[in-house]
Amino acid sequence: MDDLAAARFEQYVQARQATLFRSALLLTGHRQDAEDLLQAALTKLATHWSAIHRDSSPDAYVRTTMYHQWISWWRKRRHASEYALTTAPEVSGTGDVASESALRLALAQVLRQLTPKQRAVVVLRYYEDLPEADVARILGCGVGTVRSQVHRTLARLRELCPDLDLTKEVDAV
Amino acid sequence: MTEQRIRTALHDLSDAPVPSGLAQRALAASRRRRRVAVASVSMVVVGAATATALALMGRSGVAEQQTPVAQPTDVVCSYAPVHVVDGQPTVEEADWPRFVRVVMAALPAGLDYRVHSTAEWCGTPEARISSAEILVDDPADAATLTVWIYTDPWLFNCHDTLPMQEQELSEVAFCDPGPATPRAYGLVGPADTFVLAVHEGGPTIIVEYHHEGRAITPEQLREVATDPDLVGVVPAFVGAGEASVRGISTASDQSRSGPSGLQWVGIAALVAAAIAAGAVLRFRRRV
Repeated sequence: MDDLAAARFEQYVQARQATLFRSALLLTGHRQDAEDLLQAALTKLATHWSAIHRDSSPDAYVRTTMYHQWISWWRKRRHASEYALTTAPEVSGTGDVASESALRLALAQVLRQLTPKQRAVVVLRYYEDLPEADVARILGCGVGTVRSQVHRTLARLRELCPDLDLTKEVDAV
Repeated sequence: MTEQRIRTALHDLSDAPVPSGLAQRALAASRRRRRVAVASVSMVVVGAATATALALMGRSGVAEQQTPVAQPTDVVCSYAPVHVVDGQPTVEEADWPRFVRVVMAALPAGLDYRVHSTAEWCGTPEARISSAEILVDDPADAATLTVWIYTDPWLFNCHDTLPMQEQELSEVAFCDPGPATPRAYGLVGPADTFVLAVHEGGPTIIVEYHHEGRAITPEQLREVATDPDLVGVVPAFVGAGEASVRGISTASDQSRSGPSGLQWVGIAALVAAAIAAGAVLRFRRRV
């Protein structure tokens, strides 16, 4: 990569790192994992930067890479049993209102109980606000599958976390 | 829970400080990765050239009675053709390999299945694998089944802690203590079921089921993995030595074909290696 391409890459990362890091954080539920995941995706992006920057969307490439990389890590960890799944979910300490913290904690715990694909569907559809067709492209499945996944994931969220509704109701009041 | 609430909650949850230096670390790692790739290619090129030269030098003075050395070679997979049907990659029934036909016959009736891809008998001569990815294309259970057939036996002991059981994801559904065969064990998690069966004489059959609705029970998967008809379609492959010997020439063959021809091949290989090394060095300077 020449100096100009490297400068453009740095500009891109500077502009998009906050959004991408937050997506990674929601996908993994763990700050260190999110940093590693985003770093791995950005390294791959840097390796193929010229072609991706010229022919396609770097954002889409990073999202797709993060999703597949996370699935891959998750499967390896599941088989290798080296990952403490009981680790308490990390939440940022920016909010100082008790109910907001409780809501974040509840959501983090619920997300942890979803499969990686279900998490990805939630993140891409509701955090990134991507249309179903884009989500399908990233996940490598059909739009119908995304719809059914969204439906099932929402149902599972309701089932796993009835308190989330209650908390928000109280919060809204 | 409305969608807007989820959006708001997700935004709250992801509100975390962003780590610094991501771009610089990515660039550095990318350059390091390229350097490693270049170094690896260089080593392979030099190694191949050296091996070719040594082989030719050795063969030029070889005695008639020299025994050829057989090296195991990787066996390339045989894939069934895939067509897009209803927007999904699909292997049509006419193209199903024999083991897929047996699997499909053994799977529980009443669900729609779609074969996404198949691969047959690849790996090494002494341990080959076949696999099939099957979508359970049913409204009740949009799930994926993957069937693996290994020609070599896997060992397991019910008293040992099974790897997946150590996680809270899985619990043991069954585990046959042996010695009767086939022996099987099954693990069940919230979204995955894993069944492994080892048959008499070696074949190991694994069925992985990633599901939402669990329309197929572990016992039904066990019936697939322990199906004797499935073992019946595993071909008897020749041993490593025989397989490799078929691919190389003996000293007497070489003397008949003439050493000068092989030497020319060696020279051509060395020239190609030198050209490749030059290209690698130029690429390295760019990196």
